[in-house]
Amino acid sequence: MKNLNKTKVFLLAVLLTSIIFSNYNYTKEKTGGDSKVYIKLVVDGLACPFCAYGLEKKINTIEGAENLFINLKDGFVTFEVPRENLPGEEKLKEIVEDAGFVAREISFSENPFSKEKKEDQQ
Amino acid sequence: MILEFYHERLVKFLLKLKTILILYILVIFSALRIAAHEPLYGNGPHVLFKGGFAPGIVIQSGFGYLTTEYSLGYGLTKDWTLNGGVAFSNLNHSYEYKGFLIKNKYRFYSYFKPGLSILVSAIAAVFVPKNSSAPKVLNLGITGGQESIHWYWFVDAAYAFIITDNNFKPGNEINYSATIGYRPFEIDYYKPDLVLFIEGIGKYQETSKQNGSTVTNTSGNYWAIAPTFFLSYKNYALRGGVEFGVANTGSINKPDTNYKISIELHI
Repeated sequence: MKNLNKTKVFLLAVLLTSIIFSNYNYTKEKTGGDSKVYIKLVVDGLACPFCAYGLEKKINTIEGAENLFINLKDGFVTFEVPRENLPGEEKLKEIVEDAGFVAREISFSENPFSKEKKEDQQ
Repeated sequence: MILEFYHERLVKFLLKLKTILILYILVIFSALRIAAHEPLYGNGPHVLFKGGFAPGIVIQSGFGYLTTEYSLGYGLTKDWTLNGGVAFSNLNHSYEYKGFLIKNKYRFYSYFKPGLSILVSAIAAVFVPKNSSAPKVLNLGITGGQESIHWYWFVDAAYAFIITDNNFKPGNEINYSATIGYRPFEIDYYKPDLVLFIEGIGKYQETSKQNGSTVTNTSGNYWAIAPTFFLSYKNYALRGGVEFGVANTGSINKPDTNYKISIELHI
């Protein structure tokens, strides 16, 4: 009898753990996690990969910036930063200007941005 | 009779000296035109990003000579790039250090749109030769142009002051160029990128002077054309092209056919 109870407790624990973890993962997927902010910069003047490298280098000076993606054809950049290192709009404008360009639009999101232009509206 | 003989020899010697000096300046001026995301034989308005470094090598070769220039650019501000370099030449199988150059480029106008930039920059460059008797060259110019995801164009003009303490002073020069370029493949930051250019190059040389007096038949123009390419992958760039002399007037020769290659890195 004791063994049966132990088994029930064990199974219940496994079930609860699974529910908690699945819910955690669902929440994380839905909100993009609680520690990252996704940034999209629409940049004017981006016309060649060789000059766009300066933008990559400047963005990488933001502590914790990662998953940088540059779309030259549609003129935007996306990346993510830890919430605690989130730069303000003025800082982001300065970074783009130091790279030799102009930031036309700056967007922040809890969700990753698409690498295609169609999600510009996001 | 004797005086006439020595006068003739002196004239021949001066003409020879003039030819050497002009060739020397031509070679050095070619080296002065540092390739930094701009036309290979002309100048473009592009400047480095703030805090960026751009080490590069430019090799130019023609009949009987080869010059190599090692340069390092630095983005002092988002609009101001400082470039320093040392030039070596191999003339008649003798490889030697020729001098150093410092070049400033300041972008004073920019207009940006999606996928397009129009820039105008001022250029000031000085070449200081190793040999103190060789002429120093101070180059002041302006350059502008457009870069876009398909089409490029650039124009530039620069006045070169030839500074020397010698009795013989080669004439100052006006160098100018116009370039158009086209990117034949779709632009992608993560793929190699190719742009093809056609550069038209011109030079006007003023009359030279000997002891302050004008030396006749020393001025003129030449024009040349150069198909060039720009191949880059992110921060690595390779440029190359061939210059062909097209026409000349007065007493200066068209440039001999020569090739130029440059490798540049942005870090």
